[in-house]
Amino acid sequence: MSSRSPGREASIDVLRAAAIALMVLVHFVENLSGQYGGDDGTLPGVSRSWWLPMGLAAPVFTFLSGVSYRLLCAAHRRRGWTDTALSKSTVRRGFFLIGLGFLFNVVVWLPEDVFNWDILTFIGGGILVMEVARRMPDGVVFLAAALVIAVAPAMRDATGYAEYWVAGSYDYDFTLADVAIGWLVTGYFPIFPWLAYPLIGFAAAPSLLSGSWRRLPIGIVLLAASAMVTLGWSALPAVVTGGAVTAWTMFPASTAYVLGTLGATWLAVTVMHQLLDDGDSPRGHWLVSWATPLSRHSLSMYLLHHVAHIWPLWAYGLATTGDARSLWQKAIAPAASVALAAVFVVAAAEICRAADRWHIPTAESFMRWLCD
Amino acid sequence: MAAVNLPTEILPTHTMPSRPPRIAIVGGGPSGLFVAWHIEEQASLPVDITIFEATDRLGGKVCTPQFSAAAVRYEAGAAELYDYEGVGNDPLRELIRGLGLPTVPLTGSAVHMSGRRIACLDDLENAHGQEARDRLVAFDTWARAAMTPQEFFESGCDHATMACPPTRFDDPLDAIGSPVARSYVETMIHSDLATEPSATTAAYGLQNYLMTDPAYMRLYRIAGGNEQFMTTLAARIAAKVRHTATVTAICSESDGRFTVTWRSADRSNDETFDIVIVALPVAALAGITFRDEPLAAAMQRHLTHHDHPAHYLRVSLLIDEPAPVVPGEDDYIMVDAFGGACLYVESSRDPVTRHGVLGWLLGGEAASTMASLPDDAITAAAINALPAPFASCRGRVLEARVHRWIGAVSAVPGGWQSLPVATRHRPSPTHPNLFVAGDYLYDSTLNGALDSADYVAGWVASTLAPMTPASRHATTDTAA
Amino acid sequence: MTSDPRPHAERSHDSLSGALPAGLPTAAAMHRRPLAGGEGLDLLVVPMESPAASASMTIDVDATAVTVILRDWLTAAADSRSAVVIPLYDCLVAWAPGRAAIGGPPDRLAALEIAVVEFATREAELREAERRAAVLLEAIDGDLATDESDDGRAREHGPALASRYREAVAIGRRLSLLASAVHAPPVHPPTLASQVGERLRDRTRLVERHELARERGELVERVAEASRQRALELSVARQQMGLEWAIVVLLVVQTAILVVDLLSRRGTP
Repeated sequence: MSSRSPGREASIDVLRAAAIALMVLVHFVENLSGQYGGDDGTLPGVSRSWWLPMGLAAPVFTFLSGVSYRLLCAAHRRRGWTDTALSKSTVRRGFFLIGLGFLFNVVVWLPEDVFNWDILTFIGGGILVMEVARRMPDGVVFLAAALVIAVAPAMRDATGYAEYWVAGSYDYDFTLADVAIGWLVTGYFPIFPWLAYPLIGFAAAPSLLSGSWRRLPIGIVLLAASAMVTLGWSALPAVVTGGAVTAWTMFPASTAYVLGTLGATWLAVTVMHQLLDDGDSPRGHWLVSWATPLSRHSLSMYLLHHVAHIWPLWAYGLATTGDARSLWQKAIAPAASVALAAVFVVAAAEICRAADRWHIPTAESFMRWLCD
Repeated sequence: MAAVNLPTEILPTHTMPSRPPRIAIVGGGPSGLFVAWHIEEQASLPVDITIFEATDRLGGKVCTPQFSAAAVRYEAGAAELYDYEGVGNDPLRELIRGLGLPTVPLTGSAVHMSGRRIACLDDLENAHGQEARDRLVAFDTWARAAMTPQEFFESGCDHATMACPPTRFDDPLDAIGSPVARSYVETMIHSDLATEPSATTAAYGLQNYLMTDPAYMRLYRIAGGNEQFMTTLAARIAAKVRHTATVTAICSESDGRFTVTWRSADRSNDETFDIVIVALPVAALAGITFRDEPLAAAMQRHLTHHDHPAHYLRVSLLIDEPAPVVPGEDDYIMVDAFGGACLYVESSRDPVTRHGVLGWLLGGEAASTMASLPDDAITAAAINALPAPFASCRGRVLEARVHRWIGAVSAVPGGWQSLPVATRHRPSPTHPNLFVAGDYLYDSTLNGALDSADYVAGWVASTLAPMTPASRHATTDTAA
Repeated sequence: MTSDPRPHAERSHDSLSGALPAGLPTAAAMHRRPLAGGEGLDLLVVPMESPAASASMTIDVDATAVTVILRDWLTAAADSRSAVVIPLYDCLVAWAPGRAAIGGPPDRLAALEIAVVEFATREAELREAERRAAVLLEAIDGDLATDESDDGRAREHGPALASRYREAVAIGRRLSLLASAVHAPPVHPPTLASQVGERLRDRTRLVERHELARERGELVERVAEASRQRALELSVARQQMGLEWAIVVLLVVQTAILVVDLLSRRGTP
């Protein structure tokens, strides 16, 4: 704790590390075993309630990107950065992440996946939007987030979202219309409704990190709203459901899912802030010291964990069957995937610690060098 | 102090010479220096000013010499200056401030009568009973009603009005009704009055009484000696100064100019001037011969109107150690010796000295009578009269200096009947370029001398200005 | 006023003889006089019999020894730098915040006490105003920084600014009430009490201190008022900006919907 830089919140680091760990678990199990969903092969649903927390990884990560950006702006202002310098840095970071996202899609996945609008390109786009949002009053940002959530189902309904998804994967044509719609509505992490997470994280950060429990009920209200949408699902028209099969889906991010994960994230941030951000608390010391390096290098870990499990999968499949995708989602048993994920997370934490100790360049340090 | 309004209808109309006009100022005392300063300040043309001073120093009765026995300064003339800024604009204070001279306030409230100190009403009541106190308070109330601070401030101006009765000062003093209270008032003001109450007006007497009230005026001195004021001022005047040059005669010429006859080292000289300003005390003015008959007659009328001589006598004692500080931290005390005299404790005026200085200021008949005595006799009387707090100084006097200021001021400044300001300063209407200036025309103070000088200088400056309608108006405003 | 004109002899039972400094005449006594604002004044009364003082021109008590004792006693007070000792003819007045001593013939002590207590009351009020003004003055830099900021802190700072403004006005009101006493012209003809009061006022530079406290209060008042005004302007500007941005957001969302509708497979026949 004593080595923490000013303005860095322990709760944010712990939650981001937890999101990374969840993401690793999700991706390992999904990509190596494919056994997380329902028996019919659909996306995770209420029938697998034990899997429900796994859907929190991306919401927490994107929400925290908004919170972190708010803290970063404040820190830069304290250091005397001008508004122009802050804008330049923000735009560079946004385009860097978008470019990295495209590169990642091509290198880790396949060239035809370049415009599948994964989380890196989304966060890059989100940062570009926040460059505008930071000039708005917080109330307007909340309004924008609410609009994004509200119109997303209607947009999905208008675009025919299901037509872009084949066997649980995003499938698009290389046309300008599909690429644009993919970024806005139909991709893995489209602007509508995912932009709501960083926007709300950005606007709510001062309030959430003010050290008060007063904002806690908002998270409960969001969860309650999610529950109400879920309960009333069958009565809702298509323009509201967005054509989703069930009330709680991550792809597409249904309204219930967005509200529920927002509420859960809100509660998590509030509680963790109260527990961990009260100075040199012995209660949070070991957790924070473990989580901070992982959080600090979350981008690198995102890249690394894909390389660590996708490339061997491709290589082994190619070597044994001649088809790189032959072992996709059926390489090993789910339990083994879980075990591998756990090993990776522990190893990743150590790698991050070593990177800090030996000043090894990482994706984050490269981004700072290039963009700041 | 006095606002000077120049009546444009009496501005001279003759043509001034093309060369720089020659101006003679007779007298190098405060009035003469003030006139020279103001003319140089206000004149829009180059002027050639000559100051005639009968002695070898400028400054007149503002004089701060040193003792011989030790390099210690003392005030031989005016010991204090008057601060009117609590009431209104004070040009003298502004001039001193403008010259960069530091000033120090002077305070004192104790009157020593019959061996007792009366420093406040409580003392008066304790020593002489309730009636004396009540009578004094009644007189004070009457005095302040008779002359408000503003009236006090404007006294001497043409538009000055006050409820003070046009009687001699002994009338209101008689009305006090308590011998002790009357004696207290007389002792308090006698040395400043420099005359006897029966020889001056109630208004002038009241002025001298009311100046003890800070609401009317405050006293101050110039750090390092009051004479610094004169020397600093003289250093900033470009006028030619003829020292030890006694003007004996002034003659009006047919072309409107004047021939000034002056004597120096037994040689008589004549010089011609366009304008002559006589800045002398009344007694010295009487020593000048005016050869033109109408002028001589006008000057005689002027002298007769203002011939009310008042007298000072200064006795300064150098003590071999700093004189004891008066327990009220007063800078001066009033003593009923010599008909009422002021004793200045000057030890604190020069912080580096190891000697004390006690300065007596005697006024009125006592000053006049004692002035005829030899210095030793005056000194002995002054030492014997030292009040009890200074009794220990009697045997330790190293040196004593006596300065006689006989007829140096007017007992009735402005005369018994106040004349218009213009007439006061230009005794002869047929000689528009001959002026008089002096404190005796106002209130026998340096402030009055400065007012007088300002008036004369404004007039002279107007005379010198090109006589166009526009410039006449501007010049009149400037003079005002 | 709070001064008590009762003669010294009538209150000898109030004396706290245990706290008397050593070396004073046996008749000396000490009283505790309450002052405005909860402060108290330890008043040491030292009768100094001086037959010569009232009978002859030898009016001055040799008060050197008493002066030294009183000065030591004063310097033991909290703020000894402010201590003044004024010998006034056959009387002696010494004062420091919270402590005062008067010495003189018994028939003068009542007048001295009136003057000292009256002065101490006004000085205590002025000192309290100075203290409050100094506290406000320290916050000015923060107020100015708030005024310059554009991140909404000014708006959050509003209640503190309002409180400071009210405090500055309250100080100004108290100083105004005090002004008539501080700037009162010297009494003429003087009384013993007026002479003591005026000397204490001059020696403690009460007029200058009053002016300074007033200027400080006015400065804080001006800054607080200007900062509040600035905060108000910021608040209004933010409301206007919020409205403008809300319109922009709605237009952007509308445009996005339009674009999606145009580009969607269902939107095109």
